[in-house]
Amino acid sequence: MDLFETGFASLYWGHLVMWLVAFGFIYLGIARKMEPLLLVPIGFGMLLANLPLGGLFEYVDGMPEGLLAKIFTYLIAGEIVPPLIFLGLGAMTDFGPLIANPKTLLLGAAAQFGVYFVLFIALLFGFDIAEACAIGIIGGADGPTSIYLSAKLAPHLLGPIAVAAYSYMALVPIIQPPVIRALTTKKERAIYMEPQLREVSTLERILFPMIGAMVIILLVPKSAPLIGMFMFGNLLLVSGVTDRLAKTAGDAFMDILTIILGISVGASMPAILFLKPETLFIFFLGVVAFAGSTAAGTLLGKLMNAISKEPINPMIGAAGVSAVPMSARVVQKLGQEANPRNFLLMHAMGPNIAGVIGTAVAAGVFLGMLG
Amino acid sequence: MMVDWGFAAQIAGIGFLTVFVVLGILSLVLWLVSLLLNRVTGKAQKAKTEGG
Repeated sequence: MDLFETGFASLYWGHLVMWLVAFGFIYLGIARKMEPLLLVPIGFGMLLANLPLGGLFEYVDGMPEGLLAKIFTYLIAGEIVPPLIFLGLGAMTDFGPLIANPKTLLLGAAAQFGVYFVLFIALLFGFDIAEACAIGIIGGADGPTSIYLSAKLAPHLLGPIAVAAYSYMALVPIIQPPVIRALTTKKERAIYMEPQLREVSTLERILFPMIGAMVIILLVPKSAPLIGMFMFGNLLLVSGVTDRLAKTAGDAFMDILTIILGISVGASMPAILFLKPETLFIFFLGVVAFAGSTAAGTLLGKLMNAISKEPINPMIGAAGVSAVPMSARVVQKLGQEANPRNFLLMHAMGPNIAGVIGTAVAAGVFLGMLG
Repeated sequence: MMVDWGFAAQIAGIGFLTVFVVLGILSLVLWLVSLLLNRVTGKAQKAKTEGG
């Protein structure tokens, strides 16, 4: 075989850089066990897309030709997979901590601050308003919402935004602690909260997805695909009569979607698209958005602690970024470091789930104003 | 490229405020529903205890 019929002839330095990035993702997933279900498929997809002449992410005359290009175009950018992932998430989510302590919804709202802060910075970097909104939503720390919004507002940035969102979700344990530590004293981090939340009745759990869907979708109609699927998935979980559907939605169905999403998002990063200054800006803005959201959530937590009769550990506000359950786990870990008696996980799950809803609402508002 | 900062401020301001309002309303509705359910189930339980 002639050497020039192989992929070697088409290799350039950009491919080698992307191989290193792909190996980095796979290494983090396998060796460091950081979000392996996401990082391993994304890393491998990235590797495949950067093996020249393989054609897996090839477009001809703007139409997808390669396998992963077709999956990406029709299922991811076609806005099918992100809402379905919300269905699976709903079927896996216990809304109990949120129902038991509804004021934690406000922490989820505060933790969207980074989205709006970065919107302005992105404009300064030269992005247009639709692109800036799509980049800002990375601060919500919600992969499916980031993909859904960027597919609508800035499809040409979908690849870098998706990779940035999922990478930072995996890096929550590294990004959040310094921000939380900088904004809280050790005394605040040690604030003890009773581990037991009030018991939530089955009726409340069943009513929540219906009430939640009605309130949110009536107020922000463009959030319907995400919120509607999220609440439907949750109704399957709590109804008590659709266990089979909930199990499928939360297990096998979710796994299939994760495989499809991970490998095709990774494949959307060929060197020629990835190694551009704007991609680096997006990664930089993403981490700023994450940090800004963490900071705002923590600060509202401090305020709520100051005005509340019962002590509130301000760190639970940081869990308002919607990386479920990573940010709640970070809060739990920092809480125990400061006070071994503390068990903040359930308290942090309320804002954490509120963050998912908050990011979907933020995306819906953007679509309503720009879509 | 010219940036319409006024429009950007409007999107950010209205957007952030809307997120707070929507989640605030949801929070209030959840609180009211739990209050109502506790009253109803409390009354039912009380009637049951008195009856039994």
